[in-house]
Amino acid sequence: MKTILANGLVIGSIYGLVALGITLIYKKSRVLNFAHGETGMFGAFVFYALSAEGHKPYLLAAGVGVAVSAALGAATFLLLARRRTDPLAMLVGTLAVAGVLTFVADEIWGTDQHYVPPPLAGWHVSILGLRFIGPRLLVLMAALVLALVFFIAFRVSNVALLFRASATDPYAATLMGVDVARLDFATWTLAGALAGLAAVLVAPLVGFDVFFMTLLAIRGFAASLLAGLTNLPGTLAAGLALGIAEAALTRHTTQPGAPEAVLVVLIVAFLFRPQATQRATA
Amino acid sequence: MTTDAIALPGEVASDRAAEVAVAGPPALRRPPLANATFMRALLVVGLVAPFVCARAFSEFTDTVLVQVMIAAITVAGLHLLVHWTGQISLAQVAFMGVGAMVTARANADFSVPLPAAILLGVAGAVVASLVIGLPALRIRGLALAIITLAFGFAATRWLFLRPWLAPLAAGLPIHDRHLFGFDVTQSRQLIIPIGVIGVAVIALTTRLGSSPVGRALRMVASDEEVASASGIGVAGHKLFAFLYAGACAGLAGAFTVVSIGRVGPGAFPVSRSVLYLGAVLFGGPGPLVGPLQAAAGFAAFPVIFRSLGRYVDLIGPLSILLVVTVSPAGINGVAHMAETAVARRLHRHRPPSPNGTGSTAELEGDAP
Repeated sequence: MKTILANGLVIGSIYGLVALGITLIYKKSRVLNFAHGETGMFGAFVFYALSAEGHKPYLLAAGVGVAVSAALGAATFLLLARRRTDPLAMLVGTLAVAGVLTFVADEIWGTDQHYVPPPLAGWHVSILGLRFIGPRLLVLMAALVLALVFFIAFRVSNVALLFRASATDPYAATLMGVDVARLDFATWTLAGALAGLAAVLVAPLVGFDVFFMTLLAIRGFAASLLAGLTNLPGTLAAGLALGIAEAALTRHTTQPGAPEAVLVVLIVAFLFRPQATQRATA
Repeated sequence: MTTDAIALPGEVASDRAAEVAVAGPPALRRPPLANATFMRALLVVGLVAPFVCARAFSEFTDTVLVQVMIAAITVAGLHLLVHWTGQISLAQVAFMGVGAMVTARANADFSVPLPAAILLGVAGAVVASLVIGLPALRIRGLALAIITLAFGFAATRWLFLRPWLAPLAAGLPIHDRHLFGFDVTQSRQLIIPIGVIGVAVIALTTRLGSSPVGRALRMVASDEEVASASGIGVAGHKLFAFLYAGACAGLAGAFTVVSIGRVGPGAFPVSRSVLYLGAVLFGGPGPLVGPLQAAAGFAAFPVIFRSLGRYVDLIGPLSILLVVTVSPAGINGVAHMAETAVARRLHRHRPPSPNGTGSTAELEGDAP
């Protein structure tokens, strides 16, 4: 039971970390960024190239990887900025960006599995009887700290107000002096960095390929949707719940793809009661 | 269809303005495609064309044409869903997979004759799209994209690996070698049933677009509240569009397995759904002809330009980016602009009508 909980918390924090960026963009621009996973994936491969192939220090490689993802997030916004009043066009545009990024990464690094040495590998800690090794604890801590930072930032500053105003009526917000375009740009850049951070932290835990973040992003979307698409701390909670459910399920079944099936059932079941989403989004 | 009053999703204001400008002169109000006789003649030509293709073209050309027809059937349903109903689906290729696998299983393991097996495949895809489409009654657009994308991944990674659906990892080989008396192992014969049925699906979709159902769908896409206030059953129309698109995908999937002989789960990746969505968007809102042209190009391009290798995978994403960033109206928009330009030029040379409204230039207020 403790193993399931420990694994579930780590898996869930990965989903939550991925979902934070998705929720952040939706909260600001009312757009679902389907290139979120691929943006992070590209950063992870840059991190891999510098760390495993270039033998650069871990922090430097990770920093560059996150910066590349942030730049890709910003570039995605700039590319699609002309259509930012049409969320559906933006969504489809992000799908195309995802396809291009996957293709380019595939051309450079191939479809093989890649490995990077995990940080703090020999280190472990027990919290409430749950044992976490260094790299896993790093993921859990990053997710918790970021969720807390966003929670506080949206409570104590006027960021929440700016986000709500510019998401509800960008034109009126502009008239009131809000620089909607710059806020959008900053949000997409930050979300790109979050995707990169998630990918850089997760990459050492798994053998990763060009599709590893795509599958995580699907769970991220589910977590974001379950939390109502605009609730940042709720997104992490939904991610953790999904992770624990998946850890419990994969312990009792060896069927391949079972987590995906459960994911669909979960979402469809949830969508038959969309009131909870509407309350959370209001 | 281009003169419909209801704005289509993604339609740009400049296009609508151009449309209004052209709508003035009575002679230009009915485009040739709206002419019933012309449409009937086109349908007859379309139904005869597969027989001509079978006799006139090589096996390779007909193989390409079979793939083009499969893409056209999928895109016809998806166009109705995306552009006429305002919904979005990334699960169409998963529905194709369901159609293909049900057809193969029915024919190979239960000895169901191929035509009936194809119908079962379509029914299977409709059931799958019903399960996924039911949430469409409550949500639209963005959240539906997540659901359909999740189903697309779940289908390739779980559903298509179930022994009750696909007992063999490489896919079940179909048993029958003939469909309506035509040898399915030869593209020069297979193009006839697939071509005729494909043309029928395209004709039905076109007819639906100009029927009251099509107008109601566009009303739903434009504004659900207004549609509901006008007495249109919003939920029913959205579900109908989703099921119609699912049925088209199922039929295309069934034809895929018939044309190849067997298909494994890897034949229906989510990236192909993005490609079909790209074709629909590249075609643009409005008449079906634009998306069909895009689908034909997308299906034929990789086969004809095999030397490009994996770079053909970039066609879908790049075409979407092109549409999203440069021309939201797609091929239909470009065709409409060309039609408008020709109409203006032709009309400028006409003598002004007695009531003084005979010139587009006069309507726009820029008459000399």
